[in-house]
Amino acid sequence: MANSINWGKIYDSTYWGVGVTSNTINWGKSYSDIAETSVVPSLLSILEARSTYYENAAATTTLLTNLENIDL
Amino acid sequence: MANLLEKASIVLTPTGYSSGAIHNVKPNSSPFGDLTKAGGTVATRVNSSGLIETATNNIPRIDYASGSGNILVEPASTNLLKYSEDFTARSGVGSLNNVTVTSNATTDPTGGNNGSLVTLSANAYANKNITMTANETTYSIYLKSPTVAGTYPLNWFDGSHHRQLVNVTTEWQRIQITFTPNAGSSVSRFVYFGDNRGGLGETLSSVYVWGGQVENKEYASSYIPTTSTPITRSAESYLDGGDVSLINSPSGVLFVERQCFDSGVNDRIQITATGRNENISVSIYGTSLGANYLRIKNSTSNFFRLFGGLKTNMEKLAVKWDGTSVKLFREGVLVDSGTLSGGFTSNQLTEIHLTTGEGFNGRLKQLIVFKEALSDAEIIALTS
Repeated sequence: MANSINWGKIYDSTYWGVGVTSNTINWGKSYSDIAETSVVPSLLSILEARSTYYENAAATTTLLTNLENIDL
Repeated sequence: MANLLEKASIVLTPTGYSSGAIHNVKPNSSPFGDLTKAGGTVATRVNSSGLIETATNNIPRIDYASGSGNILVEPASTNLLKYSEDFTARSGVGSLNNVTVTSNATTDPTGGNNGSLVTLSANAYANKNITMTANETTYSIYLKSPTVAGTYPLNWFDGSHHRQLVNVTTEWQRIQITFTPNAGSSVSRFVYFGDNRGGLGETLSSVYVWGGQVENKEYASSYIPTTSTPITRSAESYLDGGDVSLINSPSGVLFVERQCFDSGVNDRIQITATGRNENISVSIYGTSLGANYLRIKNSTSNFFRLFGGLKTNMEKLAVKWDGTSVKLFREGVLVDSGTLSGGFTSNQLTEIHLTTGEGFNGRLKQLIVFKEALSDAEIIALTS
């Protein structure tokens, strides 16, 4: 889930490294270790691999992301 | 704490499919619990580019006619209108009076070049003969103005003329007229793709036409091309999804976002016992009176409750059962609750069907199963 708490928000947009989840650079890697990541890309990748036909991925991404964001 | 995507055991959206199956997004490992597609001859759909295209036999259809992608499930239907893309005069099929038809005049809704230009002079009519019964009937036809938006006169005839103006724009639109012809059998019956004899004050005398269809339905189903004879698209069904490992019988949630087509029949989406056994089942269904209903059947009781709303609207509906407690949610609101005598025992519910018995026909945007009784707040968020 995206961090929306004041200064904590910098972690989803920090300059250091090549991205929060793909950072491999020394201490910058600590961000990827604690970052919350979406499982949606992985689910869709598996779905696409076992489907002869695959479409409408943007709409499904929205639906799945909405589900992922309901965390009460 | 887990989010609803993590908690869901089955998630079906209109995205991945293969011949004979529509694939679940979740689970992502076997058993996948995919629904199997059966029946259905060659049929058409509106693809993501907005073009009509043919889906071959046994291939699920994701249809975008409503503006977004949905799994399309349709009953059998017959296009009674012959030569559905040819509007020239043909003996015994249709006639023209003071009408000019230019075939292959523009790009048609398939992306081909088969749109015909129909131009009406004074006292003009253009029709096709139809053998119509006294059942509810829908006449549909694609129209597009070659110039500006305006009104254009259509008509249907069952011994009396029923002329009416329809709005036509400079984009292809499927015009639909639903009616019930009289019961007489001896009169000639026609639908008209132009008739200015009524003096209705139309603003357009020329339109592009394509893809006529007449069927015994209260709505226009997906387009069925014809030539010399009426063509029937057979019913399709989606069966045998789910798995005992993906459904928790004593407590769970079934959520659907769907729209039914026909207000006059029952449309069930359900979880059943093994063998499509509806005597043990949780069913979200649209009734033959047009309402959204819940039916739960176990070994001791039948539980019926109303969700509210209209089944022909695209709506989010969810049912939570937890032991003997049942709650119904629609569009973000807890609408009703009750007691299911006896509840379910472990492993009673094992299968998901869009179509068994009184099967679902309509558009399905999402179907989700949870193996636990979510909180009311979670389901309100889910259905909002």
